[in-house]
Amino acid sequence: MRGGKEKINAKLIKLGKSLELDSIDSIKAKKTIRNVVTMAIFTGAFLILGSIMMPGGPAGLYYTGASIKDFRMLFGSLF
Amino acid sequence: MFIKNYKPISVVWETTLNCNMNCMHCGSSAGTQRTKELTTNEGLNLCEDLSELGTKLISLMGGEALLRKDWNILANNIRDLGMNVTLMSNGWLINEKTISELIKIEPYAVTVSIDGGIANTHDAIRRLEGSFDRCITILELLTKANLPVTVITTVHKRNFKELPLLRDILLNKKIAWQIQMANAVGRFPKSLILSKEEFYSVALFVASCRKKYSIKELPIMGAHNFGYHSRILPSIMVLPWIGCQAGLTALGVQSDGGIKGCLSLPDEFIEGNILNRGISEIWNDPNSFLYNRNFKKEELGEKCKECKYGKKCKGGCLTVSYSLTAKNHSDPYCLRLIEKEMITA
Repeated sequence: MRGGKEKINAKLIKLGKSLELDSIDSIKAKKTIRNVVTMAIFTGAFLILGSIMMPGGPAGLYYTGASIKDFRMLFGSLF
Repeated sequence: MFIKNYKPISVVWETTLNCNMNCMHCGSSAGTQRTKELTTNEGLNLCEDLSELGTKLISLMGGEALLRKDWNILANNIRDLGMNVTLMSNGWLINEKTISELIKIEPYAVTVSIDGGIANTHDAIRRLEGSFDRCITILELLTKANLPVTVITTVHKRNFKELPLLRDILLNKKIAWQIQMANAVGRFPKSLILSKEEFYSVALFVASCRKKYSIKELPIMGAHNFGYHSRILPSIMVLPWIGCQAGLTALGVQSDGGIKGCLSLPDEFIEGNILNRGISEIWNDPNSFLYNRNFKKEELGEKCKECKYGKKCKGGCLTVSYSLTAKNHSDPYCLRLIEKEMITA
């Protein structure tokens, strides 16, 4: 298990180098429990508010260029 | 029998194929206008029909959308019908007058394409000298006018290594940044498409930027072809992937009235033309957009069939899948799949 984690980290470090990411940046980019929880919150927020406040829905967000307004809606007070 | 009521919530309208640039990655091989493009009146009627169908967002693109002299008439009409409008531009024709018009239109977003971290790269890709410098100036003018600005960067072998340079330009500018992968469609040569490792590096870069910078400092996300269901990275697309939306909630309109579920799909996917049948008739036809509306798990590619997200994911981006494998629902540029093949194997 530990070997697997180290192997993944080594691969991420290698992949990150081509875009000037140092080893810490590459490893820190991994999914965390916090990411999973945040994603669940965003999904919930989208289900409740998204159809009203994000006019294009997910399709608008993915295909036509996310608006800064989408980020404001999703991340609210962080903006 | 229960008939699902689909709505084209997000529409991308190629208002003209005429373009003042000649980008090497252009998926629609834009340059000169199509033989017969929709007139202003036909365009206005289209907007009214889309409004009745439940459309909430229309994105005007090209070619270069600003080459249509009536772009502002169309945009104002969309807004007057209660829908949102996004203007997608290469930035070259945006000036003080355009910005005054945009302020009145109150767009949902104004997107400007930047495809390099330095002028040489961007100008070579877009084949127009001076275009990078012009874009940078335009971004300043647009943000100064408090317009919601988004930079779209299309990545391939020629430019992906410049993402860190572009990140430094966009930091703390209150500009959204969307990164998408160039597809092997239109005039983009297959030889320049990112390798799977390069593709994964870009996803890692986006994930790293999210971790390193606050959303206020750098609102960055991957487009629809940066997925799906990674075991290692958080969602590159912000919201979870719910499968290709072509013909379900997304619709593409060509400048000659041709209708596709998504504009980036090749012409084999044209469902009809609004000059022959109304948009409502095409959209509501039980034989339209069957690749997604009648999708069954059995249609997934072999590797996607084994994935627990296969049914929901529908095998990723249909355009990438079709252009690279000649099959639907089997996009090989999938983070989860790449991890299985190259990272966790």
